Amino acid sequence: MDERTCPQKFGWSDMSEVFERFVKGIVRQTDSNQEERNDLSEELLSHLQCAFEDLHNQGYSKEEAVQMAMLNFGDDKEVGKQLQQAMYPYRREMMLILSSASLIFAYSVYALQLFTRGDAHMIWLLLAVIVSAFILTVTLRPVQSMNRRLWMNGLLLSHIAVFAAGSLLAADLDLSYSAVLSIFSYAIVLLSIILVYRTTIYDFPSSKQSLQKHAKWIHFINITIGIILTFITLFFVWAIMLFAGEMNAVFLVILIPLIFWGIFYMVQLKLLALKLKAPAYAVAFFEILLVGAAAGIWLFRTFGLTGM
Amino acid sequence: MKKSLVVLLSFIAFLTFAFIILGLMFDKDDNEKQAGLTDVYDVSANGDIAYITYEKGVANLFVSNEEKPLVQLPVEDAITDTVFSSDGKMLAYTVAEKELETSEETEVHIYDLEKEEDKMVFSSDSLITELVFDPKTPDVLFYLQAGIVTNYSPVASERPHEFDVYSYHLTEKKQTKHTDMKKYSMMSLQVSAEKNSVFVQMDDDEHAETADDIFSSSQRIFEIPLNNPDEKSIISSPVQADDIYDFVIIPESQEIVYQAVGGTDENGTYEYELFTFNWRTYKTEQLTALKESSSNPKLGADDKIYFMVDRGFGQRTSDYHLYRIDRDGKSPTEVKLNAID
Repeated sequence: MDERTCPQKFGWSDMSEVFERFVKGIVRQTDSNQEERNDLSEELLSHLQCAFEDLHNQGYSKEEAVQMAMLNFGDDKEVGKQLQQAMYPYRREMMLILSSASLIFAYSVYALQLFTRGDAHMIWLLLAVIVSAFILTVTLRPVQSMNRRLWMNGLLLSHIAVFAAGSLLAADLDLSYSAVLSIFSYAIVLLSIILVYRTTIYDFPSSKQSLQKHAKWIHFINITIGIILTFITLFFVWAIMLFAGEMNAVFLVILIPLIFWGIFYMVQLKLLALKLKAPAYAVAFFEILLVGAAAGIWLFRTFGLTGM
Repeated sequence: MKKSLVVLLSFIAFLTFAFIILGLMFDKDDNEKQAGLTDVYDVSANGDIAYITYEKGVANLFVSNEEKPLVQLPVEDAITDTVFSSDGKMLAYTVAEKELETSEETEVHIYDLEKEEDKMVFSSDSLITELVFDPKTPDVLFYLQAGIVTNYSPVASERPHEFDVYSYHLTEKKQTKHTDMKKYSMMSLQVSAEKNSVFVQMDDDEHAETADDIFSSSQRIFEIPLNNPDEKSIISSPVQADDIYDFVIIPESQEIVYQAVGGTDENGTYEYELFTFNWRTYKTEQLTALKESSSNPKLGADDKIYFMVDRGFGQRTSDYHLYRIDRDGKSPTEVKLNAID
């Protein structure tokens, strides 16, 4: 939308309340934060003001010009949806599919575990429903006052952890159910991962980073490593739960790679915020090297020795 | 939108609450989940078959075609082994708690099949895993006892270890410890009908010095002379490279029928078959080819080999079926058990 200013000759303040209400109805339909909403509202109000001025100049009364300006603009909800789609294409649809599919999966796995195994995974069900209902709520009623990227990613990462655990419950069912439900769970987790990439890199980039292009790369590298490390950690958690007789504080060592990953990620973003591009990439490269070396040693010890 | 969201969230909350209530109603304790036939059984000299089934976690001890179980245990107890006396008139069995963390105490009972009387003959503070009557002296009951139930690795579940061979004299009421081996694992106890010795399956790790040595050691069948257990010797095939698990000795034909890995299925799951080894000719032959998990061979009064087949091997729950097969490997057939549908 072009931004233009119109002379305020006709008592704009009288109309502003009506227009502001109309604009509020439009921006409410978008996932924008407060700052973006203010900018968007200002722009829309400017357009309405211009339309009002033009119509009034054509001979319409103030009231008629106000009504016609809003009528020509379109239905507030419809315009809001179009704006949302233009700003964040298919984001809302993806979120709705994620939340509804997650709820269907959670109830199905819980019921099958209960009636075929005699196991009521109540805590898991509660976590799965809470995280899915939360995603549903923030999709239908976006909350602007919060740092969207932080809480949205927090929500999505919680979702990934809960539903990765759910995929283990699905795999634990009889073969006739486990195949279908496992694929279902992988699809849900994959959609959640895609949304983490989307949220961090495209939809809600940080305003603190001036080097946006490089920030996207740093996020991409770290999210990818983080996902790989999370799945490896969850695999070990599963193995411990399966084979260990009882929980032991020693098992907390499996969290060390994730803790280091978090520290490395933070350092890279701080360096980039200080416009220290080369050091940020150097840390990222070192992180990749570390993960690659660990994977290489593990592969060599597991398969290399037996192959020799 | 606001109203419809509230309705939607209320519906989700109601549905979740309903599932939680169902969970509270139908959640089962681990002790209550066990169901179906187990691999614990024995065949007697007069053709009877003793076997254990679980129904909603309750252990039932059946003999042959009886419609009702001879013994039914509380839901927290399990029968770890059962064995007929040589004349088939007595049935000994062991009772231990399913949760080994709670108690390792084992009771040994003898059921008199003629008088239909059950008697607890002795108990032990440790876990008794196997029983066998001495064919030479019917008053002596040999058994394998674990010195400890533990997990040696934090990523392993608790298992019985430090095994030794014991016996109990039923009339003298006297327990005797015959070995001091503290073996990591020991199973398939059998008592010689002629000599003062027993046969067991265990790791051939006597000369192992490192953890790698122990890990690479094979499981073999040993004869342990009870008057000098240190003189134990391997009686299974000296050229057999694979591990040997359950076995039965058939002295008259100088054969051992044993369980070993026969191959793998398309998913890489091991298939266990029964093999015969003739210690006179050193000839090994494959007895079964069911491509399942065949185990626990026993020689029946009809001169057939009885064994268990687990059709659910590698899956979460076992699905045991009792089979018998001719000594030459022909005509494997499933044995119909009345208590099993």
